[in-house]
Amino acid sequence: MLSKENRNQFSRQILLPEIGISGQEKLAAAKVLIAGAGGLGCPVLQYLVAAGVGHIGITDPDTVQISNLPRQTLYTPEDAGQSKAVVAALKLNTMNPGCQIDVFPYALTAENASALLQSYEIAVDCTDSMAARYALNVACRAQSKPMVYAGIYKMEGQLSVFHYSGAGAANCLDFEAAYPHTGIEPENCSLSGVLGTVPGILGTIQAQEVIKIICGIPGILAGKLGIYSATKNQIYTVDLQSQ
Amino acid sequence: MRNELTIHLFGALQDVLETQQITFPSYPDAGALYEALLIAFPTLKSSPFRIAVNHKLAGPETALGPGDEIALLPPFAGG
Repeated sequence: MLSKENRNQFSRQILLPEIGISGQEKLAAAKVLIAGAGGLGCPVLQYLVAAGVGHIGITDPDTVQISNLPRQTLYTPEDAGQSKAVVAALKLNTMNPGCQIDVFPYALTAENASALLQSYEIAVDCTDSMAARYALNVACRAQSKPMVYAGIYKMEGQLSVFHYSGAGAANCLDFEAAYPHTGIEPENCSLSGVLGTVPGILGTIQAQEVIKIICGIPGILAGKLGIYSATKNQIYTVDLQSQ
Repeated sequence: MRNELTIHLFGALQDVLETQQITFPSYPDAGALYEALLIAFPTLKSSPFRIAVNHKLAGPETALGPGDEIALLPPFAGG
């Protein structure tokens, strides 16, 4: 049951027929693991906690660097050197004290991904390496839990939802089927450079997909890959089902 | 007249070939196109990619026809 205060706090989204009281209650009961609290993770965390998701887990092994600040908008200069997962949890707690936040200040790996995912219903892939993406994919596949993927390269970003089994779900699609192992690790943002707004946009869409999954809102980007280009202001969509 | 394909490049592949789009001879299927691309542009081997034909992910046996829209899709690691 939502309290009177919660009905007021979330009133604008409760007004939407796609959410309503029942959707808000589903958000409050939801458990979401966010792997990575960087450029993608910051907007994902901020929007999910602000929207009233009741239980969040944050994994990130890194500490805040000054060079993170243009795109990782949860952090400020005085956070430099501190654990991203710990700082993020503290700031998110002030945004919505009703959200339970679990902190895992270490990397998601092939060894721990399954155990980390166990307590959650949805995983959001905000990592910055293919190894971590594959590890999360294997865990999501084994536990039949949706994986909301996004990846960034300079001024472009990719997005898809894998292992989604809700209404309108495509054939079970797998990150590894779309991108088989090659042993090559593409450049991440620290090597290639990145415009901060690009992970901001992609992370915001990831949070939106999570809210849609939780509330049963149609139009999930499952079975499709969207590639956003900041220079073209376009999303190029590819159907992943026709292999 | 020679049948040519327009190929859209994404991500690091734009840096590798220093353009967003190329024209390239057509091949019977996506597998043959992939092999021909690696021969014509050996630097493409530095970045894994998948081929999409008409906005659908292709396998090696996906047939190609005149006017098909091709995209080369590398995974993005950054987050």
